[in-house]
Amino acid sequence: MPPRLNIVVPVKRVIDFAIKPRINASKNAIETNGVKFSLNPFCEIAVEEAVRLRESSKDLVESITLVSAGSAKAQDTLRSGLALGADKATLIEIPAIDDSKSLELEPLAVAKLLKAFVKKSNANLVIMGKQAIDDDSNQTGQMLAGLLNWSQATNASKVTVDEASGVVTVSREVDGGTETLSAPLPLVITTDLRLNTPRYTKLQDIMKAKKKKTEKVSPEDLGVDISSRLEILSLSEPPKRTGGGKVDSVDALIGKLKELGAI
Amino acid sequence: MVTGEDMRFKVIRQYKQLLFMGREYPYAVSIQLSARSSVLANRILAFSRGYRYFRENLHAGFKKNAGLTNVKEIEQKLKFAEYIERELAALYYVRKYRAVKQRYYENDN
Repeated sequence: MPPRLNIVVPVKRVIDFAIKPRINASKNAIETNGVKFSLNPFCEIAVEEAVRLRESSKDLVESITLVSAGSAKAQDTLRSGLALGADKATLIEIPAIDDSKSLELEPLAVAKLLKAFVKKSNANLVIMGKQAIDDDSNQTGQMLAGLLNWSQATNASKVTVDEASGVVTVSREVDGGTETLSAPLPLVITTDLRLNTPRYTKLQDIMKAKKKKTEKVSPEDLGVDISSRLEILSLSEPPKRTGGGKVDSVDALIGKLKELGAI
Repeated sequence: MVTGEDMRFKVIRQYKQLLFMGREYPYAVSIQLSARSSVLANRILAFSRGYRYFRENLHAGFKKNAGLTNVKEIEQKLKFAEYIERELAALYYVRKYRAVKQRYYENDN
């Protein structure tokens, strides 16, 4: 009898998808003051997938644990994940560097924190978003699998677990078709956009989520050094699109094209 | 036997759920609502307008049927409210899905 699934779902608090990010006055970070934050869409898909695995079979899943590394405000993000149907949540609290924000973690630091957490929580399956919509690194899942020395299935578009053998089969959308992988537990899965459609939270579930267990740990508790290895020199917005112009005649058009070196 | 009290509870619960969902109701944010105020103030204004529009309509809809006493009729209206709930959830999901798809999967065929 294969072990039941202990799923860990790492989630990230990001600027809401509907908001256009702006660069701050000193041009080295994104303006976060007064901006709406929410659960990263890919992480939402990951939580939903874990909940669906539980709903697919009665004895398959033992626990679903959320974990997030970030400022104290990431607590709200964890709550919205709990409302989607996870059991408990842990916040790895990153201390603030000044009043408004805490250190921006790099993917490697996050992967190290997650490795320590996964080891501690005896998990055998990690389902996480393939990337966050703020820094678009798409690295943490792969790094985590590497550090843990577990199998990895990235960009999953379908996940099935064979209960008798404990083998997980994952379909991935690749160029020109679908690739199907299967691997025994333990495993790291990262989710693609088309894996599932996350449910809309019911008000009652939000109330119930308030009673679920949450705990806080610090990076020191996990024995991980989170100091940055990279320094952001500057950020710039993409160039603004300039408007076109009208030409009077064919000759003028040809003249313009020659000017641009197009013909 | 379904009592009036049960029905009342169900209706209130449904109303609260819809009101909760209305917080995200979109309003055409591309319009500069007030030229003098900041981007943030405009955004807050847009948010409250979307919500206000939604709340007014929702309230009017429930108010219109407040006098119903027939259990069957109330159940029918509740079914309609559940339908609205599903439609709204779908609307919000599609909005998010399309935004992400456009950003990351634009060149997919």
